[in-house]
Amino acid sequence: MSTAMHKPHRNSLLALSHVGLALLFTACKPANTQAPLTTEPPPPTDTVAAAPVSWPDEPFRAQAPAARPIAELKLPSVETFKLANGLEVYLVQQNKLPTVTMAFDFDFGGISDPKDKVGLHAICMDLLDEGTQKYDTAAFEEKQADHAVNVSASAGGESSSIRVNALTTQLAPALDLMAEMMLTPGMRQADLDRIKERRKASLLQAKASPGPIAGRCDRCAHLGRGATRTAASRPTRASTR
Amino acid sequence: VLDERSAQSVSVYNAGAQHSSIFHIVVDLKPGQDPAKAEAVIARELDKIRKQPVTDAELARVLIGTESSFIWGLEDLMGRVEQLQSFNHYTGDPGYAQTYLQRLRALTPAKVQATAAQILGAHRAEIITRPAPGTSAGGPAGKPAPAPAAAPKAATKG
Repeated sequence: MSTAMHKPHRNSLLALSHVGLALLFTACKPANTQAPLTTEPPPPTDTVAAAPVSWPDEPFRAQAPAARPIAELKLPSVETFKLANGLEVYLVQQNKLPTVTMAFDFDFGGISDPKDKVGLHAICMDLLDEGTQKYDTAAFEEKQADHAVNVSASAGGESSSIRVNALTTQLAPALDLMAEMMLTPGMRQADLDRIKERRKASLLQAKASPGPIAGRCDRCAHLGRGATRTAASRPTRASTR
Repeated sequence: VLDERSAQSVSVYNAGAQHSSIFHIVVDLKPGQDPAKAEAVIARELDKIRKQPVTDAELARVLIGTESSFIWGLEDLMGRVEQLQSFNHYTGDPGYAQTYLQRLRALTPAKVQATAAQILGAHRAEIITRPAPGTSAGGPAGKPAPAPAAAPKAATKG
């Protein structure tokens, strides 16, 4: 479970919001409960004497608290049911905080890529959460920020996921944004070009990093030599659609 | 500066402390950009927020974002422990969360403007960091980057 993360905001409206945010913290700062500091300078001294150390002497500090028994591990129960539209639901409820995390998992991923289009599903899912037909990337980010929600899509090796994080009060607009993203994705050429360039740069970096090198060898051993090839430049807007 | 594509990033935040909070405005300029122009943009935005209230939509976005971050921060045990102690330290009440949220929700554009007018005055410290000469971003060796039009001001209390 992860908290919402926002991409860099790009316009002055958001910059102004940031100013407001910082002001907000200042305005919300609780009143200082201590006595005000004196403005008189301290008397001049040649040496500064260390302040005497005063240890708290409350009785309960006399001995360290005894460790209590290890709390019993209570695994949450998982409810399963199907919606009328056939969607299979696994529901875990914890009501301590007013938050909701939803994950929509799909049975496809990198393993489903065509042989000549390695990386297609990953790029497709990256492109999916770049915006909708109505909202470009920046506008889509702003709509999420308006409700402090996070809507994202990603592909793994064997499955892909769309995730929604929101406060319970903001779940409705979050689901509206998710539905709009899924039903009318933006799929803009400029976003696809940027994602491909970013992925190429990442691949270049991975070629010089021990961890990714080991990962490629591992995939080679399990999936065959072709699994290490990439075709980040090959997916087109049409193929991602 | 982001709109004008002269900056790589802009961040604004308040480093709150019990006795001496520091309000930061940080701009990372792209190579070759004039710091004086960025300074003028910042001055213009500060003047704007001192003289006119933020919109309701801007404030609402910041409020829900702040409340959301606060609540998600309570999800793990360590986050709850830190928050309890933070409230205990600064207010004397570890159970201050509800009061904090109530204060947060009671904010208005007028209160934000009044706070801006109070603390974002002319007195400030400006710190300009340039790449060292001879580095790829700092120009040829022995030729420092051009000086900004406005010399850094000395730190003064606001």
